[in-house]
Amino acid sequence: MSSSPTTPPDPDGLATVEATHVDDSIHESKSATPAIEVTNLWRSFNGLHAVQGISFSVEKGQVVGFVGANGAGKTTTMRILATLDYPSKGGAKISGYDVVDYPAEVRRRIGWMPDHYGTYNNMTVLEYLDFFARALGYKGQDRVDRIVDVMNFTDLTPLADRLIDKLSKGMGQRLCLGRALIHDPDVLILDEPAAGLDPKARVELKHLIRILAEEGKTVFISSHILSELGEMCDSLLFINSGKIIHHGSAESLRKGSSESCIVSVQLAEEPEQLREWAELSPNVEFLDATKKGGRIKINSTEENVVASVLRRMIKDELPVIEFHQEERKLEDAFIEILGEIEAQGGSIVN
Amino acid sequence: MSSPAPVEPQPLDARLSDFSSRLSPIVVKELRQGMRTNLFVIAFILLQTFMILCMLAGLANPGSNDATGFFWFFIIATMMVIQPLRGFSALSSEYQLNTMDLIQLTRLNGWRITFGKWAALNAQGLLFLVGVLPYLVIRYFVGNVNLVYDFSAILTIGVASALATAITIGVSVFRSIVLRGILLVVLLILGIVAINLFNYSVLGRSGGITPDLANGLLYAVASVFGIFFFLSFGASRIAPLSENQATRKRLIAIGSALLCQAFHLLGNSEEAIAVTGVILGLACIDALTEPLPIFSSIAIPFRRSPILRILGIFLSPGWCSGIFFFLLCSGIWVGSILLWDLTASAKFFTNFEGPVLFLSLCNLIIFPLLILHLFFAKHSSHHFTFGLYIFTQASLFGITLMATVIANALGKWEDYVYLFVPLPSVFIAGNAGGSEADEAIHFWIAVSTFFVCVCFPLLRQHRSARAFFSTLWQNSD
Repeated sequence: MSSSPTTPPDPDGLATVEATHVDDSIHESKSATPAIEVTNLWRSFNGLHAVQGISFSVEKGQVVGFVGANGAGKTTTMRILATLDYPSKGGAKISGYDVVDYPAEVRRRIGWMPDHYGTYNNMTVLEYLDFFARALGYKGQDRVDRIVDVMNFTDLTPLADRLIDKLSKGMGQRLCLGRALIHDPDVLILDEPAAGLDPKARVELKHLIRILAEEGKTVFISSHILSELGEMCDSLLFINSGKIIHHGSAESLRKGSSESCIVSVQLAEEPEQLREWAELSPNVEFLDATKKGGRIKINSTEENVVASVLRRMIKDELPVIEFHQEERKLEDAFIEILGEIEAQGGSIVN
Repeated sequence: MSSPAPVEPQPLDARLSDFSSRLSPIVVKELRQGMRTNLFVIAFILLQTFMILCMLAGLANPGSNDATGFFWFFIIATMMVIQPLRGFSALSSEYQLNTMDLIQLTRLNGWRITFGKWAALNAQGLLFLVGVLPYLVIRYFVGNVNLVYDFSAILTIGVASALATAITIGVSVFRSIVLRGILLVVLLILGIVAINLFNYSVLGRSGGITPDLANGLLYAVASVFGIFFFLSFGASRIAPLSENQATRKRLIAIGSALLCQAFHLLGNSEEAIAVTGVILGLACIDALTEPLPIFSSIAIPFRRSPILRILGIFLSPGWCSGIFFFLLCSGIWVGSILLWDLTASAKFFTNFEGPVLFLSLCNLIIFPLLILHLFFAKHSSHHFTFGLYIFTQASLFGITLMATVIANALGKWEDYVYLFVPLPSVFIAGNAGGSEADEAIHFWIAVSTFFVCVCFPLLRQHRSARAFFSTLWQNSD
């Protein structure tokens, strides 16, 4: 079964423009029909372009993080994928089904968890899951079995008779995830699921998502917390001002460009000395200061070059107490990519 | 002393089988939630208390009009005020709680959501009415009560409550409480007019003892359509744009209007024309304020044959087809009036006054569309469009009221009316009683206004209109 490639009329007459920094490693295990396929997707609200011609695909069984600042277009894109909004131009498919032309087919295959989970007053956890199980077409014993499975998976059984408005945020998010899983969807679209959770609830949620990934579900998840996404995602999509600016694995982002490495240095005195030294040294850039020291970037990864820079640091009588080579933070990678785009006058990195 | 053994909670299976799987999920949810609300519990207890008090008052003073008056007052207050008001935020609360998106991702479509909410509220209303029945029987034994009349009154109240609840649920789709309030006030005024007409035409004609059955049936048709229309109104506004809610709604409006034509044969032509006008008018307002984007999934069924494609021009969703639907409805209404001319020799179209009144009433429906496409062509949100439509109508009503007051004060209606040409509402008020020459001018103004209102939106939004036709006319493969 395949969908027709039809798209709705284009009210804004938008042009097709897109180029994205794509890491080749994400295409290694490409299957016939991607779980998520977005092609030149535009979404405009009264002339304001929230999403500007983005294209990407997610293979089945992958966990993909969707990263961007507030207003970057994450939620708009995710809502279109969940058939809750419409593209102004371009299209999106879930397991080969167009989200506009085959919304019912798409809905059967996705589990959607919005950033603000919706619950009811005067309703218990059990009744809430029962309502959605009924609404998704489960009847009789099948319905009971699905609810029991989901409650066991999300550890909600002890809370079955608790009124929803009495749940903590973490419990509520588990309930919301449970609701999204009732019909055992292949693709999970999770919009900021960890927002506002305490560390314990965050760990629990991460654990659940990891299990789902191991079960082979495709998970498309957005978050502000890059380090968290890095731990559980196969690849990351960076979006900025409605455009995809990077698509690659977390590992490759951490490695960064192969032409530099970052060294954290701790001094016995003020960090100003390190800044002055870095400005005078070839192949070295001062990144940021810490309480006693700072981080420097060495424009080479060759061991002998790095060693010579460190030797020079000692030779120049900097009061070094400790230094170590850092793995690049995902936040740094994101900022770096943004910086590259700004340096190129807003054009897309390729 | 030994402590009592803890109560073992029921297994999940048992707790999940309190409602049959066959019941609509929304009905189950709403019943579970609704029966727990304070409003339901308090209203039920208060109604029972007042019924007992009325009974005691009736027993103390048999045949007392006061006791009878209070008896019906409390029932009507519960069924016509409290019960419908419970639906006032039925759909908007789903948006406020961020649950509408979640429901839309299930197998429930817009219609099942609104109908389920309405059915659950009416099931609770039925509990109120069933709770009242014993007192009805006791009243009969106390004396001076016509039990058949009382039961038919309860039935009428039940139907009216069902209609009022459908209206509040339909209107509750708007998140703006101001818009919902304005709509309810407008509909309340229309409701009072309808009740007076009902009293006059159903009860009044026959002296208030034996109701006019034909008009009663006509009102029953109108009520059933009203319930369907307002629930569909809400449903189409919560449904995704890729869900076609328009075709069924428009077909049922046409069907109901055609059904009303049977009442010409029973001698109830004036009422039939009025009810036809209200049914088609409501359907047209809804059609003209629908958002336009028509998706391939909606157009596919219309592409199957040339006849279906032509039907699609009138029945597919969106304001563009809404204009053609409006023309079709105007034609049906003309037919209804001509039928009146034939059966009762009313001669409505023999002079200018009748056609001007007819055209101005049509213009009244479509005129706000001109304003919308003249000044707000880029706004496509259906909530905004409908809100603006209502605001324009309310403004027109205000201008008409002002014009009427000033014109009456100056005593120069005929000259004054031209200041407000072509506002249809002013024209309706100012048309009557002019000279023949004035009437001819009025006629041509009304015709011109009609054509401008129909053509301007299509010309102004010619790109969207072209996209609409091309989507409908594309090859299905």
